[in-house]
Amino acid sequence: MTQRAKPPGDVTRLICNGIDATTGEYLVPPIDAHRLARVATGDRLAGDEIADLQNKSLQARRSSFTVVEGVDPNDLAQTGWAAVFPAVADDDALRQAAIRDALAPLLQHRRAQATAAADLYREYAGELGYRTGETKQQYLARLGAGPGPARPQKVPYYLLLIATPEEIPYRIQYQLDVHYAVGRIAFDTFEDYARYACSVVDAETGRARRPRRASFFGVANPNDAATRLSADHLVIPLIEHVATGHARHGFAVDSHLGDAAHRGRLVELLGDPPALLFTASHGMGFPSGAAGQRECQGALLCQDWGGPGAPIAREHYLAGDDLPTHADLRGMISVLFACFGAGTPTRDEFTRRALGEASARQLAPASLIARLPQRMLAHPAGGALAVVGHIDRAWGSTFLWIDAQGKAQPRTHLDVFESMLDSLLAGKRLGYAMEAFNLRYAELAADLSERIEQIQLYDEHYEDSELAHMWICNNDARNYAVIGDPAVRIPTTGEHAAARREPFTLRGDPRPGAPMSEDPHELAPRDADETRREALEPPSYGWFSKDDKQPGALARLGNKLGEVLSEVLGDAAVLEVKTYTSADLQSIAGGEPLQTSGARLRAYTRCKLDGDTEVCVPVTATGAVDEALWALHVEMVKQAQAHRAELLKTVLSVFSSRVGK
Amino acid sequence: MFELGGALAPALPELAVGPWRRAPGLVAFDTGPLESVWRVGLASDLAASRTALADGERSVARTHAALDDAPRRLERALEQLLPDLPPAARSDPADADLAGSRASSPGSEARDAASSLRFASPPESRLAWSSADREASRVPGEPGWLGGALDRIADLARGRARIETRVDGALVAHSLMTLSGDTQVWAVPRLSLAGAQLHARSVAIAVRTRHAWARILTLVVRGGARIAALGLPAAAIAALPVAWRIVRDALREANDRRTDPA
Repeated sequence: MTQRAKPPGDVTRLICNGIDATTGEYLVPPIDAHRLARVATGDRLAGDEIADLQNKSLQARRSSFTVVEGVDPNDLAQTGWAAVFPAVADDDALRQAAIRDALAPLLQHRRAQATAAADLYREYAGELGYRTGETKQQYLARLGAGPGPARPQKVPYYLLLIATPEEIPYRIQYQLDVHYAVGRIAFDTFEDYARYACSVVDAETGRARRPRRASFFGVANPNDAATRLSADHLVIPLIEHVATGHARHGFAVDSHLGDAAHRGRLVELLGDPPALLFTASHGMGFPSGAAGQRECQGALLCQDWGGPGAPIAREHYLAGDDLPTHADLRGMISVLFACFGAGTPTRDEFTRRALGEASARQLAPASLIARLPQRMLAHPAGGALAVVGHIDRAWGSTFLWIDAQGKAQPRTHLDVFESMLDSLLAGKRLGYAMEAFNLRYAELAADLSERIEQIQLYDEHYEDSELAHMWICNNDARNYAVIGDPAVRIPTTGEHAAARREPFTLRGDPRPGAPMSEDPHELAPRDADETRREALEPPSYGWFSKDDKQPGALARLGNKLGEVLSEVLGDAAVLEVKTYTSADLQSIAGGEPLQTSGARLRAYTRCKLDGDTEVCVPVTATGAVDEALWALHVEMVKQAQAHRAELLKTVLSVFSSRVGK
Repeated sequence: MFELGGALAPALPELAVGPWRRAPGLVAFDTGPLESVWRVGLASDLAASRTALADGERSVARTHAALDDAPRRLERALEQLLPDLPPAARSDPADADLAGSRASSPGSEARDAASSLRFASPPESRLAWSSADREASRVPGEPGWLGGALDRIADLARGRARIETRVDGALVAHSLMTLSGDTQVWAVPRLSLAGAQLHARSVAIAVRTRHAWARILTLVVRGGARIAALGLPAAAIAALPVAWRIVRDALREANDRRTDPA
């Protein structure tokens, strides 16, 4: 890896990253630009999509904001956050409700953030869920929004799609992504949803912390132009960029390139994961419906493979099943540059249009989210925050800008990647960090549409390679997607260390005889044995179990009850009773402030835990004790004390089996 | 007349707890998301008012007695479900703190609820629910209803309580009590001693009822956690509905006893 590969001089041959698992050959042979040009001229977007993209492109040229003026895109209190479910039939409603329950810790966490200033938290389900067949604009219109930048009061900027790509198609995700920050999750089990939710909350509340390390893993298989280019013109420049630009943020950088980028090293990396993992490699592609496709489509082909034409063995690539069982991935964001790294659509647009097949080749029986990111997010020992990857094929055009007319040499063009990494390492939210990709897509799509219009309307001269390149770049930029919550972020230096200590909270260890803890962070560090053990055991459904990894409804209720009890204990030091008189009780009941209601404080009692008590007794105009009022006040003090005693008794009864045994 | 209103009340399950009946229209103008309104409407006849309050007090007492019995019902249901399990594995010592001295056999619905855990989906169809789970969760008819209802109960238990006492429709006193017991009381300037006593008793009934809701939540969550911890197929999903039905049966039976002509 001492000498970098030269960018290809032949701009009429376009290469993508993807290897056929059965043949060891490229998934798509290098494509002739003349054929792609014809594809491009026939591939026009719908009118409203063009308008939306042009709007976005124009907006990008004018300013840097992605939501309406005055909204900080990194502050959820201003941007809002929404969970988007598909509208489902009654039979699936129960399943959806259970998913929602499993995600409760995350939903509660986001609700608290998105309602800090105003109520900008939404759950779009049922009637407000996405309906099959709707376009993006039709759906947004139903939610009360239109084309243009996100207006959080109408629809929040951060949207988490909780749906398989069959329920909410990738096409809708791409289009929503133009103006919104969009991510997606879909798992096979409720436990996976619950694990992901808890992992995100753990990472964002400082319960799980990752070392401030960015790791780069760049494969360069022998005789393979694609990975040689990605290693030399994507990974190495990014390492240099991050190493020089982010040392001030306390980020250490490690690199694993070429011969060092073997599968075993990647497994080691995931066993001690960094905050940011960037990989560039081929992604595995399987024939539609083939054995192994569901588990291994998009798996990362490592340096172990001998290059094009060489046979591929299972041990050459890393799939979801290969994650170390003890890997605690909480707090990690991964960027996987590889074909199908994030998912696979049902139909293959590239080959259908470019290679002239009569009908679209089926890539998979149903659209897939790649198993590797799914497993990373829902890992039993702790899930990653999110994975950025490619739906369908990844092309070198993302980082290698080719002069469409062939008048200049191709050159490395990493602005979008650098922008994304800069944002992430500076603590920006992932969905916002992805804006660079979205802007690129919007600009390229708008340019392509305009160019095609000129050609078709005015018969302007064009080069095949020009249109082919624009078309590939456009589709390539569009297909980057976030698997995970788009609002996740890597914390800034010392963020959690400086964070306010959480209020006194009782947390019980479900194991018999285990002590109670007052410190919510005490359980944070997990030793290797513990995580290994937990990975092998089924999730605990215990009362206030460690890490809150309970089934959704139980977890939510347990947490809520914990809040209730913590509030009781937190306020137990002082009891205060005030008695007022007012000639206009109705206005006070109606909410009029005390200052303007004419209410008079007549009696006051303040009891401290240590026995100190302050009492003010009401007297009449003659100086005598107002007996009726005093009787009422004394009775209320008694009731307040009794109420507190009852609640404390409940607290003790709840915890006695955990503390007193 | 005992009415429960405020933002939380309409979402509460159809379950009689104490003497209160839901009054969806009863909303104070400053009611926030975590405030309930408890209105006691009394007549000018002092004796009739005292009788009404005494009835209310007895009703709350019956509710608490039923809740005392709920842990035992859970025990019985688990015994029937898992006869081979050692008692130590089923029992929760904390139940003794919450349980009273009365004992009764669990209702048939509780047995059915517990046994529904047996008929779970096979592990390979992990997202599918058994028909028994569906039935248990659909109380009283909508998916996710139970989770939402328990959420509201938790909000009710921790939110402020606004308790109003009205005599012949006129507001004579009202109190605001937070979860921790801090209280503000407003009364008309020349409140009589009898009027003061009426309001104090109204507050006591409301607060005791709120405490009953807190106990219901505690019992359901703890019961659900214990069922889930048994590791039965589908227990993770059906645990809460089953625990809910056991507590609900206990309360219904208490109400039935009250309304029995005998």
